[in-house]
Amino acid sequence: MSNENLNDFYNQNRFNQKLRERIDGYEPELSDSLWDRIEHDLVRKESKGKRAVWMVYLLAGLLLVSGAGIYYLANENHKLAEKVKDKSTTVETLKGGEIPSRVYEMPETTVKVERNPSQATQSAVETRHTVPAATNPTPSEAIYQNPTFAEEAPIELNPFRTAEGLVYPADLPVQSTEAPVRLVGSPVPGSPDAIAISGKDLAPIALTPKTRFVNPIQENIINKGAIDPRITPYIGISSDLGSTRQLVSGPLAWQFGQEHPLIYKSNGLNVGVLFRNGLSLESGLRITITGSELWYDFMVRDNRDTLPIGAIADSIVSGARHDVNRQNWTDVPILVGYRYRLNSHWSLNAQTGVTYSMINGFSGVEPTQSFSKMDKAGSSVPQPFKNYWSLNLGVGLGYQLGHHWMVDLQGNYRRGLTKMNASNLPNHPNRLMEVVNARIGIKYLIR
Amino acid sequence: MTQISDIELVQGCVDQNRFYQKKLYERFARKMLAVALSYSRDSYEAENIIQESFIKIFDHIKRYQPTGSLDGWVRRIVVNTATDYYRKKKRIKFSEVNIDDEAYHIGTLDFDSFAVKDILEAVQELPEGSRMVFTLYAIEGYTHKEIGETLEISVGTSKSQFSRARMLLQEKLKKNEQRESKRFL
Repeated sequence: MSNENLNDFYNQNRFNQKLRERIDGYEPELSDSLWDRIEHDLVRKESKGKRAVWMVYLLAGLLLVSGAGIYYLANENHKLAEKVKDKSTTVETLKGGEIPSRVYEMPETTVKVERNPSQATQSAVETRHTVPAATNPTPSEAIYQNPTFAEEAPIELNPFRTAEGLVYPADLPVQSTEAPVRLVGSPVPGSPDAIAISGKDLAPIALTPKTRFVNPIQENIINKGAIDPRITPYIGISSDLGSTRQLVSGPLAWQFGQEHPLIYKSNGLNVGVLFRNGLSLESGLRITITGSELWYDFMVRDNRDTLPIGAIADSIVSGARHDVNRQNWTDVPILVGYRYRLNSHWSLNAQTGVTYSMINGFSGVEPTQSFSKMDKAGSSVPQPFKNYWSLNLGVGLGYQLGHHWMVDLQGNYRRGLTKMNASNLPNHPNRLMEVVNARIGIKYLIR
Repeated sequence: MTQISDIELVQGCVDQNRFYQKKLYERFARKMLAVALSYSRDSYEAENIIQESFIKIFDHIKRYQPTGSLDGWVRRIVVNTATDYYRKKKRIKFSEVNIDDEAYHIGTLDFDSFAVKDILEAVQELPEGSRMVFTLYAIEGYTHKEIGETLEISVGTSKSQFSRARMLLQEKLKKNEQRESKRFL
């Protein structure tokens, strides 16, 4: 190494050392907002973690409730099957000359009902009605729907007593091809009611003339087989009120931070079907508006004015109560649910599924004087949002009003599965919709 | 008021205690801003680097081993964040340099005659690639091989960028010095 190079080496090290010393001892002033920005990011990260934990709890709860419901239903079905199997009802072939008070001819899917002419005070009634075994009415709905009788004299099947307690005729297996038969209940040993259960006194079916209102939907749709009687279709309307915010992520998210909540309003029509086992399927159409009437204290940052905002179609404001960034969406939910009946009126309802949201419009009102800065969001800016999918979770309470109406109160959480920002704004950070709302709705059950 | 020890500070941050997080910030932020300033174009970018760095620090503080100095650990995160900040954005451009490192002679430059603020401003005015190499080599003490690995460039590029940066820096500081002296004539 030459002397010149040695000098260079020495100078270079000295240069570096001097520079390092000077910079190491230097402590420039920080802007006051820097810690606020860091704390803001910390809060957001922490709340994300907490939200994830809550989501896990919520999903676990839903799974638990669904599992318990399925177990309960399976158990009930099993019990019912056992009860029917063990029922000590005998079927005897009638001997010649004996005239039963009622005769039942029961081929596999046919019930023939006759009155004994010698005892009847009314004219004899005869009908044939197809009753698939699987669709027998349940004990709690023992009104026998017979379209032929409906016009003249609807009949009711009255329960009768056996060793196991009350037995509903509708529960009896329809399987005999030997006609005519007589149903005889077994006496209950030691029971004071034992004597009442024998022979002709045991009349499982009493024809009770009764005038009643004929439901046209029942008459014209369900009875004609257009709708499976095991499901109950419904239509309804509902209204949501809540809060929404847009979760911001991506390379320029620091410019926007966490958007503050906007008001969320939604009205919709929903249609669905409710199955006998409590499961439901629902869809519909909702018109949703998110606005900023409740927009306050939005992203007050000292350095916002210096940002290269460009054409970002978002409202950057400091101040309170401004009607900007109004978005209008059409939402199409596709939901599955489970309704657990607590009693004849109240039920618990849980729903989950996805929603497809389509942007209808976006507007930003001209800034008022109290805006410190605002992008020209509106007609001059390309549509900043695009259609997106979101995940729905909801739990609530239902109240049955009479036979057809049901009122629902439900809390919902919705979170975007796909980004809602349009690709024509490359500077626009990635956004996911998040909604929390309360819903009130009313349904008409078609049955 | 007694000074909070490093261990206490770290433990508080591990527990996500906001008080200790702020104390850690207050202890190191200004010093680290000086580091970040030497990597960035302006104070605005430097503050963004500091913001990102402290989030990383609070996220990863569980990994801090008390055997090393806390100051050094925090500084390493700031430097890594600064290099990542530019690398991710693919903003570093290493312009062609035709400087023979051996042929370039370092003149003597008395740093004591300049305010640190002026030195940093001169560093910030350097082209991005040269600035990164210069800061990593001269201030952080990286070797050209380490710089090459960090910035994904060759050792030769690192050397030539450093020489260019040093030359430009000296020119800028001398110009500033002359300008200042004229003002007082």
